[in-house]
Amino acid sequence: MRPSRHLLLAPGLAGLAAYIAGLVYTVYLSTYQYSLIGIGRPKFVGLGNYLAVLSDPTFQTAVVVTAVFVAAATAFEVLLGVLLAYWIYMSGRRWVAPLLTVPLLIPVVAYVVFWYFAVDFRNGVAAQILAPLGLSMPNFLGDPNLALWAIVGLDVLELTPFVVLVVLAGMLGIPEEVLWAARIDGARRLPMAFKVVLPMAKTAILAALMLRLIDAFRIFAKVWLLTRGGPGDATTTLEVFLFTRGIYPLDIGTGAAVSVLIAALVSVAAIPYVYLVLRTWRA
Amino acid sequence: MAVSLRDVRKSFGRTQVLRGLDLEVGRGEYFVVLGPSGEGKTTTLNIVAGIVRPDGGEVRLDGSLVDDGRSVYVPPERRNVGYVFQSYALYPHMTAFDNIAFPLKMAGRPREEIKRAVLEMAELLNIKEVLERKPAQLSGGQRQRVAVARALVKRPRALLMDEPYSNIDPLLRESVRAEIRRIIKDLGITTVMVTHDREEAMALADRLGVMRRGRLLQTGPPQEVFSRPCCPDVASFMGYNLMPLDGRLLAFRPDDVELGSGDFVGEVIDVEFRGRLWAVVARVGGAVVKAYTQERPPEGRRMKFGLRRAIEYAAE
Repeated sequence: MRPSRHLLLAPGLAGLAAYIAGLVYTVYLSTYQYSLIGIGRPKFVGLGNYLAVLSDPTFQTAVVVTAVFVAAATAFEVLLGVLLAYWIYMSGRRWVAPLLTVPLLIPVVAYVVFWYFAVDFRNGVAAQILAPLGLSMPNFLGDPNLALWAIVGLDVLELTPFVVLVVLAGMLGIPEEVLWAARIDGARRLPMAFKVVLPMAKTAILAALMLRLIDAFRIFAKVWLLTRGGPGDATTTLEVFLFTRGIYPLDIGTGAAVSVLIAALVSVAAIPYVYLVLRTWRA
Repeated sequence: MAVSLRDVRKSFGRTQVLRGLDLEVGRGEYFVVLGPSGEGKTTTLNIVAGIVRPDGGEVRLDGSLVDDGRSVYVPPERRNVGYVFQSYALYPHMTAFDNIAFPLKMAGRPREEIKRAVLEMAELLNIKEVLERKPAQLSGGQRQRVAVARALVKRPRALLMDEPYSNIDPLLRESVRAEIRRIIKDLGITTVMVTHDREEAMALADRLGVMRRGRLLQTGPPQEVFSRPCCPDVASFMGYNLMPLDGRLLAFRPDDVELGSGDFVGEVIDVEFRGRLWAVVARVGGAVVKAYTQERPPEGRRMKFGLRRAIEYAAE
């Protein structure tokens, strides 16, 4: 290789190096008791921060809350997304596709405000529609059993179009003649969907699933703006825990330890899946 | 008639593709539609299959009306036709076996019967060894055979083939197309094939039709169309030279040109060695004339030639 080619790699390598350095530095910080507001020098505590975090019941709750959220949001988004993409594809309403980018352009804050007005149990739109019928809206955001599902609902609302977009792109890559062949061979409705279209869009569906799975771990803005992790700890996700225990109190050591734990947990969930997906792509 | 089109018209946007197409194919007949690209050949097959609807006219299969461009429309899945697409359009995620079995599965046939039928087709088409492979792992020729097997396995009322041999290695093409023709004929299945390859059409067709500008200009047995083209368009597509002479149009084949003596004088543009013969291209007045000769043509820019046989048409 000529040196100029290495030169072209330099910016990428520099970025990667900074990234790895940041990771290493976080691991290093996680072994110190180190607060920006406390007095005194950082003190080496070994795995002390980790032990404290892992034995914290709120952290254990956060792991469960996050797992439930990731599983539920991803499942709903992908199921609904594939269904809608198939409908758009088969009905030939491809002009819908550009409209699907609109939800992705709207700021999350606007979504939260809209959602708040939609589901609020006193003055929300749904409540006002139900009231004359003598029905009342459950207090979604105030009920510990329901609050997480309100956030799942918001996430599904915002990100299903993204799944539709990716899956639709995969479906539009299917040669038209193959669909015709399937019609001629007698495939209609369910066999058409499950034997022809969905298997042929499999890589796109898996890609959408993978992207949503990884991204669903990073649910901070919606939770913070909607419930601040409450009521109680009912919607405290790992990111909210990180924010309230590490970043907000400027407790660098604890924050670093939580960050490392989050990275480890996400890797455990995501890496086997990514590996599986990449393997099907190669085949 | 197994396949019958009457006055079929079709436009895509402003482009008129079919302008009153008439086509009759008898039961068990191997019919070839011959014509240059972009003249509506594929559209014709798509209309017979029910993938494309005509703007008007009548489409009949085994005598029953399947499309009249208005209220009558039998969808593809209920027409029982087989279709070999130019791209083959195999299901990439299924093995060859599952590809061939698919039409029977959709018809709800019992598993044992499906297996027997698929193996029988695979035996006929000599693809038994590759049934467990997916299309990506097959050669072009094997893919084509799988596509033919999938189209034939349900014993269709008509087999439609769109340039099925154009992606086959030229060295193998002649033997492959003869073999597949024999299989189709043995099964007694009515076939409509389209191609732009004149020699292929003549080699395979029981009858052929020459298509230009959305119409069949002439139909008949290959020998007849080749030796008595109805009109200059067909003559030209059959490889005839067209030369205006005294307000008429002379059509003659390159092998009917006698070089060296005769009533005509041409200016030689090009001489090509073709193996079995030499091809001479000459300009005569405004026309370009091609001639085949067994011996090396005489040197020189100007050359006399005569015609052994020619057809006269009134000038257009």
